[in-house]
Amino acid sequence: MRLTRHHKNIIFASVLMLPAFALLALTIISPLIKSVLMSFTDYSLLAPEQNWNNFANYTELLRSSDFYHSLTVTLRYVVITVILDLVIGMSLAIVLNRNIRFRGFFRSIIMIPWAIPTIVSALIFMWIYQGDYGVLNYVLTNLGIIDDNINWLRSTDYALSSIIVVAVFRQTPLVAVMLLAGLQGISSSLYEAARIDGANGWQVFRKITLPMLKPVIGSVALIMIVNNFQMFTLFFTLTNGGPAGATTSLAIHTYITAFSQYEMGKASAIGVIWLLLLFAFSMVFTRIMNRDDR
Amino acid sequence: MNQIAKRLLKFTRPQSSTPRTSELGSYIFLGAILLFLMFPVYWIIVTSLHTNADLLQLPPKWFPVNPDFSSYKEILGSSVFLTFYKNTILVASGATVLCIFVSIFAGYALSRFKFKGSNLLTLLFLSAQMFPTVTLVIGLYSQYQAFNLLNTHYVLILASTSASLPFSIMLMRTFFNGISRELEEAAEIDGASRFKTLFAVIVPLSKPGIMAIAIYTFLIAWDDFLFGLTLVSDINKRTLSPGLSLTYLGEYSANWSGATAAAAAATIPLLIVFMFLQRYMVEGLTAGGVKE
Repeated sequence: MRLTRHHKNIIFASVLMLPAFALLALTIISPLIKSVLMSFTDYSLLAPEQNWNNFANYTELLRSSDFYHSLTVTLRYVVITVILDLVIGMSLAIVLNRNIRFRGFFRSIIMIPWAIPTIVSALIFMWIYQGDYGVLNYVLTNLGIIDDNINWLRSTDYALSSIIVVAVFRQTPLVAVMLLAGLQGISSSLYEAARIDGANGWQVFRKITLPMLKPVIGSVALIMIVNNFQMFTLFFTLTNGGPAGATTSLAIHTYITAFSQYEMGKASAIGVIWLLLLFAFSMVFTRIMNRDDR
Repeated sequence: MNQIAKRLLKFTRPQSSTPRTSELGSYIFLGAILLFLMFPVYWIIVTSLHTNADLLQLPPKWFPVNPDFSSYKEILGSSVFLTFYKNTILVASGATVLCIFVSIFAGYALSRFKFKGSNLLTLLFLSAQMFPTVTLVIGLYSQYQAFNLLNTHYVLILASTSASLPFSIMLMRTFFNGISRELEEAAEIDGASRFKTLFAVIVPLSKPGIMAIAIYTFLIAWDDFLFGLTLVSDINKRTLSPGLSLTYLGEYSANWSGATAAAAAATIPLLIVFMFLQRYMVEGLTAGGVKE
């Protein structure tokens, strides 16, 4: 009797898991395996037969300066974006955690940029950045901050920073809301004790808020790092990797190799190396966070 | 990823007030950030309500004094744009429905049954979120090309579902963990079948979780750009994000009034969904993926 019940459980659970497993196999596991296999071949969309090419994709990649360049661009983008996300998001969360007027109203409207599609935020910033009639150049020249109009997205000096601003615009709200939820979990008795001891605002932040919030900050940071590492939409629409490769991130480099140069094998190899880097990073990151927890 | 999820948990608890320093400073800071976050939103609307001739003049027109709706009329009369719109609604709704069912099933199984490999499966779901989409797209492209499935909505629905599925499964599991098993035992004594118990007893109790994954999936699917760009090249099957990009963001295109009107029209359904259901979304985001 008991055995049949146990068997029934197994059957029921398997039936329930089947759709998820099928979907994952079809959309993640099998394309991933396919990519790894392709990375060892000379597969091109122009010549559909696939031949084993003795790691040529990998040796070529590790010797190509384009690959290291795109890795550097990506790292610069990720580091600066995530730091800005966290600093602005944190400040916003702290302000919104105070008893200010219209707090509920502010909390809901700051989420709007996050609900806007990425492509729409890219489009509006393209118009704001526009060289001759964009509102940014108009304001900056009239304030005397710059002398001549700057073509923000076509300048090797400013293109990456301009993309970062759009990313921060869209990501800060989510970061702020997650950190705010964390702040609300800190017991107010800690703050009262600090106040009785005469601690000032900065000391309270350093000694109470930051340590108590560290786990939340860690998870938010990891999510933002992983997401930004694969940012594609903003790079593709705002600059498409230009000017002169100044904003060619890993995602753009992979995309161009695969769908403009049709070298699927080589593009897969970039993807595989990227995957390995990401795995190594997340393992180190989790280990650091765990060690500090103890 | 489990640790992350666990950390995200330590969230909603009663309100606390940090010590007040300078209230004025707070307002100034808040004002500056609000300007940064809200001006672009305002600027889409203002731009879309001007003609292109008005836009190519300095100083810029800061307010829509004589709003001009011709760009909106043009957009709503354009069959290409309406096709993009219809396709996006189709793909996003399809992905949402599929994701709800699949994650209810899988989340329930992971919550109620401990079987061999269930931890491994959980780990697999969680790390699936980290795989670079561009890498997946290369594999997906050649896989679907082989099956002649490129240029169909099925492919986009499947791909969009997979983007939000891992998170949704974990979120449903968390919700089911919070529902007492006694309910199922009672239903079993009454002679209800397992599927009936799941749908008649458990699902109605998990509405907030289902709402959260529905909104999450819908937003992610609506926002998709890369899948739509690569897996679909037929203009009749194209979705909004790649459609907007290919129509309006050409190197020398200067139709900013039309572009912003289309962008505003593409955003409105999301803002409506978001405004009404924000509460579920925030709750879900903070609870999602929590283990035990």
